[in-house]
This record gives sequence, structure tokens and C-alpha cells, in this order.
Amino acid sequence: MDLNYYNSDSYNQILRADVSPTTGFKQKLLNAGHINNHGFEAQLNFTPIQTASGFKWNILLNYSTNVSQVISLDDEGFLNDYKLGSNGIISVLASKGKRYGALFGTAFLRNTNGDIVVNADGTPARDPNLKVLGYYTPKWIGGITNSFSYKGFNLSVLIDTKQGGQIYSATNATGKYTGVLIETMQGRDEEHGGLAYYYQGNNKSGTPIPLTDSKASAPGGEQVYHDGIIFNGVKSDGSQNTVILPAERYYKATYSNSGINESSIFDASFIKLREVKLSYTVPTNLVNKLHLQGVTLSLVGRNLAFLQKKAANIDPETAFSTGNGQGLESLQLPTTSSYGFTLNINF
Amino acid sequence: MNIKYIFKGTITLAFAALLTACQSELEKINKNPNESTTAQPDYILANAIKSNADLLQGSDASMETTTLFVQHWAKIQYTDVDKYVVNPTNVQNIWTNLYSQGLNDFAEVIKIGQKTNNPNYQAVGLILQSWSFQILTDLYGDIPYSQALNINQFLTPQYDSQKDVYAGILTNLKKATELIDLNANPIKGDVIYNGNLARWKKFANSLRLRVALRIADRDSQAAKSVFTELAGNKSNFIASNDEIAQLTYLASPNQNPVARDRETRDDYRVSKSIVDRLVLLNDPRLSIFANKTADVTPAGYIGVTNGLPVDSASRLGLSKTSKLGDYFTAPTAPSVFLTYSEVLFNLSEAAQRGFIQEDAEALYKQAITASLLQFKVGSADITKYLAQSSVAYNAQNYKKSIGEQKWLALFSQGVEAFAEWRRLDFPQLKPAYSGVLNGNFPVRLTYPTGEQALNIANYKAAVAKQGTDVVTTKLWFDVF
Repeated sequence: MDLNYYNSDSYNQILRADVSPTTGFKQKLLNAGHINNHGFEAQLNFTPIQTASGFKWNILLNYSTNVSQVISLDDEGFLNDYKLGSNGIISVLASKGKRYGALFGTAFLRNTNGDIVVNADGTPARDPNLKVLGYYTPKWIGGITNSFSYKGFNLSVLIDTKQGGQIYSATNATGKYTGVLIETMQGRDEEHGGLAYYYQGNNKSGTPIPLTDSKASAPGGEQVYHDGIIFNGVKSDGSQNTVILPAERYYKATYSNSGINESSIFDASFIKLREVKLSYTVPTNLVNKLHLQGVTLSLVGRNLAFLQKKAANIDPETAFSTGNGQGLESLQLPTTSSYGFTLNINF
Repeated sequence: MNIKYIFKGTITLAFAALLTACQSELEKINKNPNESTTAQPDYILANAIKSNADLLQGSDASMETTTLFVQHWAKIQYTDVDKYVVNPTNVQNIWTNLYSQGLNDFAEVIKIGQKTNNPNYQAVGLILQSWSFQILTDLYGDIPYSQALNINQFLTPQYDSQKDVYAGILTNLKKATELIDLNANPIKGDVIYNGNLARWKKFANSLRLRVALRIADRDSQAAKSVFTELAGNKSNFIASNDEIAQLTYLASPNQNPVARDRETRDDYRVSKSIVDRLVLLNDPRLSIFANKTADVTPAGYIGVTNGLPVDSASRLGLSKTSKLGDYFTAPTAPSVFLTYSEVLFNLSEAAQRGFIQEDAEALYKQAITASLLQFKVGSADITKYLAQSSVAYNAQNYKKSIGEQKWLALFSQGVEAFAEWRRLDFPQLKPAYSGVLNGNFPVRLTYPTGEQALNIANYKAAVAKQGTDVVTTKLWFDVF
């Protein structure tokens, strides 16, 4: 059993801080900043079962939390936000008095009831003010290793997890606004719940007019489309939105990378079956006959499965940047599962 | 004295000596002997002028924004921006480039001018700085001005009202003309006028006319005083097409940004609005502004409606619509800052407003003539053009006459055309076909998103003063 609490303050980092270009410069080199980190670390190692026949079950548990808080950035107090990273659309900020690693981007415009407001044309409205959409820093991380051994055999299973924290997924944004992800089938045709509508006089720049009966034809014989979706929001007067949008416009307006970032923010929590390893150690008497010290054979599989994952279509562990700008993902290759075979011989 | 203390003292002194030696050594070590540490004004000046010129012609301030808003150009592919879905990256780039490149460099040129007692570097720096601020305030409204470009004192500069920015520009431009020394202190790196300081003075005075008219609907007294001070002597201004303030580009890699775009892209066409107008007026500039369609068509010149849905635009066909004229897509095409014709239009309007006692109609005709000559139209065609009733000056509705002709003369000077179209409200254009602003036009750019991340308190104060940070919020100068 191992328990630790820590509370550490870091001062005077060398920061290449982004500044408003109106100063004449894009960045300023500062020797400043005060960041406080505190948290718990716990590790527990115990053996629930050990029999005389040689069977042993061992558990190794670890758990840690970390709260990272930005106390101040520069001595003069001008800077409130330090840009840790950006994918050009959404920035990751360390903001004074706040949790480290805020994801700062465009959000839906909401009324006082928290309902999303739509524009007159039925597309969701964007809040003119950028907002903190989440933090990439997790609430806690942990892992559990179960290992079972009997005679020369050993099976160990590592499961680890990261809970809390958010991620911006440009993969989802791109996949949805271009319509290549399966989720975007929703509403694209009658079979998937698409609503029927037509354009007055087939003028496609006009407003789509809904048809209550999907089998009905349009009054003027216009072409009837079946890919209508109504965005779930309210009009500026607070009444439910009723304007129908063609699926293409719906997905483009809701998920475009340069549109509303909030729609592509996901909970980054996951539980992963990180590693399973089965090994066999050849008995010493056998090995000694071959004039060797030890022989171990093992089969290893890594990154085998997600036991829990909240972000669709991506591995929340993949990242756009390896630096401070975490919490951003953009069309990264997923983590690969690997399977291996090892033979260890000691002479 | 105790020998122990002497010993200790000596040790301390020795260490102290060692430490200071160490420090100076450290400072020396940080200096790269192979790198120049003092900037040469000529290199900075040339670079900053090119940076601004590129911006004015490039995709951020022109191709993807202003030139579409005023319906000089239209998009035939990727039409979103033509429907007023302004790309935040363009908005950020204009701001960042003007402040951290052009403006910062001009400030450095001024500083070097002060240090080396060269008033001409100071003057040229001041003129170009004022011009850059004029572009910024025209586009965004209230902007950081008095606290800008002073990072050691103001890490988060406050926004000044547009009124104060224009006033500051007028003061500084006048100061610059007074600083200019025609007899000594030559300057280098001047890729606009090649060191001809008399012309710099003309450029500064011509800019003063531009800014004076910009505020004329708000503060006609201030506007008038500029004209009464200067208009007595026409040689105070850019007085011929040879004196136009512009950067003439060279061959690749120093080619015109439009030419560079056309090397790989084919996204733009000439707007239907201007093609139809030029046809209606039998305007000889049609064949300069637009090319005939690649496929032979009966009309020859076919413009594209602004803000078409992607499918409609692609149905029109790349080969059945008019591309921008070769004059503008040549690698050596200039980035134009201020023309002789603009000066004459401004004088004409000032006469009409009663700021000066001159013949507004005659000046209007001279302005059109200057524009036609700028595009190499022959004198017989000019006479024929001016004789048309559709071109005649209408004193009762001077904003219409001047607005429509200025809009033509400012073709491909998107930023200035956008400002003057907002101020004069002519020509009356129809908003983009499937525009997203409920039938409205954009009348400014929003502040770049970076300001919300890095200068939030001042950003909020500016928005509270100026109005919601959307493209449809009218700026102070834009009264009507």
C-alpha cells in the first residue's frame, strides 16, 4: 500500500505566450507564470489467493488524481490566457484562476432556458462569444493488473482507464459535415426518418416547404425531396423550431469545422483492455540440461479492446499534438492493436 | 584586524569579481557574431510595403471577402464565402498581418528615422502606418490605435473609437507632410516611389482627402478644413496616372498574389453585377476587367451571380463564364493603393458638398477620364463614353453618380471599394443570391476570434460600445 498526496507550485516558467497581434507581435517570451498542481496517488499491491499447490493471484491497483490550476501568468497581470496549443480552429488555453487545459471555441447560441437558438433559415445559431467547451485534463486515471500464476504459467491482464476530460474531434466534425460517417444516414432518406418537402417552383434557393404526408406530391407538381431534418432548437421568440432543412445543410450547419465546435466535443473517458500476457517459464531442471539459465515463452496482446468509450469513431487517446496542446484530435490514425510472441533465453 | 576577516573578505571579493565576469561573459555568449542585430530601414520598409500590398490583393482582405461583398468578383467554386459565410481564418489573418507585419515594421522604420535623424524615414513610416490603420478601421470599426504597437507598455491594448482613429490618422498624415525634407536625407527600400519624396507628400495629402471624406457624413467641419487647406494647389495631390501609389510586382516568386492564385486555382469569375453594368454603359473597361468566356458565347462576356448554391454555380460552367481580365491576373499586375482618379472623385464630391468652390461635374468627368486612361482606353472612346446620358453627372443625386462610377474605377481594389460603397450607398446592389444574412449585406468584418482569447476585456468593452460583433453592425462612419 502506497499513498501520496502532493501539492506543488511551479513558478517562472519560460513561456512563449501568444499575445494580441495589436501589440505588434504575435508572441512574447515571458519568464513568468505560477501553476499549482495537487493530487493523490495511491498504489495497492495484494495477493488474494495463494495456495500450497502453487496457484497465485496477484492484484496491482493504482489510482491518481491531479488538479492543475493556473494561479497567474505574468507579473503585471495583463495576461489572462496562455494558448497552449491550437488546431487553427479551437484553442487550448491555460487561463488565470481556472483549470489547466481549457478547450476554447465556438458554441451554440442558447437562450436563458438553455435551449439552442436557430436562425430564421432553420440552421443553429452560433454564439458570437467563444466559450470554454471543456477541459482536456482528466479527473482521475487508474489501472488494475491481475496476474495469475500456476507452475510455470503466468497470465497477466492490465486494464487502465482515464475518467473525465473532454476532447475536440475534428474527425467527427469532418465526417459528419461531409456525410461520410454512418450517423449521418439519419434523416437522409425516408427509411432513416427523412422528412418530405419541396421548393416553391423548384427554386432551390427558396425555403423548403414541408409536406405532412411523405407520399403526397407537391401542390404545383414540384419535385419532392425526402431528406428533410428539423434542428431541435427554438426560434428567437422561444417557440419550437419548425423550419425544415435538407440533410446536407443540416449536417454542414451543425458540424462544420469552421462552424460550431461544441457539436464535436466529446467526453474523453475510456476503459481499455491494455495488455494481456500469457507466459510460460520452462522448468529450471530442463533448462539446465541445455546449459542455459532460463527460458521464457510469452504471447502478448496490446490495446485489445475498449471496455468503455464515450467518444464515437475515434480513440480518445490519439492526439493532434504531442506538446501542451492536448485534447484535440484531427483525423489521426487510431492506436493499433498489437500481438506478439517473445522468447527469452538467459545464458 | 583579524586575519580571518581579511581572508573571508578577500574570498567574497574574489567571488564577486568572478560573478560579474561571468555575467558579462554570459551576455556576450548570447550574441551571435554572424547575425546583424540592428535592422536596416531599407529592408524593413520594402518588406512591409510588400506585406501590405500582398494583403490588399490576396485572399484574406480581397478575394474571399471585400471584392465579393462589392460584387466585383464572384465565386464559381466553393461559394460559401460568397454567401457571406465569412471564414474566420481570413478575418484573423488581415488583423494579424497588418498589426504584426506592416504596422510593426513601419513603427520600426519611424524609430530608426528618429534615431538616425532622418525625417524622411519618419515621414514615410508615418504615412504607411496611417494608411494601414485606415484599412483596419474601415474594416473592423473601433480598433487598438493609441495603445497599439507598444508591447512593453500595453500587452493588451485598448480599442479606440473609429472617430478617434480617423482623427489620429489625419493629424499624423499632416505631420508626415511637414516632416518631409525634399533636399536631403534620401531613403532606400522604397518600392512604391523609388525614393521620390515629392510623390510621398502627394500620397499623404491624397490619403488625407480619402479620410476626410470618410468622416464627412459625421464631421463635415473637420472634413472641410482638410480640403480648404489643400485643394488650392492640385499639385499637392497625386496629379497623374504616373503618380499612382502602387506596388508593381515582378516575375515569380515576386508575382502578384492574384497571379499566384490563378497558377493553381480557378475559383473566381467576374460578378454579374459589374459585367451587366459595364455592358449597359458601353463601358470600354469591360474587356479589361473581364475576359471573354472560354467557350464562344453570343454575349461574349458573362458574369456570375454572387452567392449561388454550389450546384447552380457548377451548372453555369467554368468555360461559359468570364474570368477576371488578363490585366489583373498578370504576374506584374500592380497592387493599387490610391489612384489619380480617386483623388479627382474626392475633389468632385468635396465641390458638390460645398467644401471647395469648384465645378463638381467637371471634376467628375476628369475622374472618369483618368480611370479610363489608367486602363489605356483611347481618347475617341473616352469622348464617346462621357457623351452618354447614362454617364452624365447628376448633381441632385451626386452619391449615385459618384458612387456608381467610383465603384467601377475601384475595380479590384476591394478594400477601398467596400468602404466607399458603404459610405455612398451606391451602386444599389442586390444581396447574394442565397446569402445567409436574411437579405442583408455584410457592412464590416467581425473582430478576429484571437482577440477573445488574448484581449478579452478590451474586446468586450469595444463590442459594448460599437454594437454586437456581427458583420451586419454598421460602423461609425457609415451613417446612411
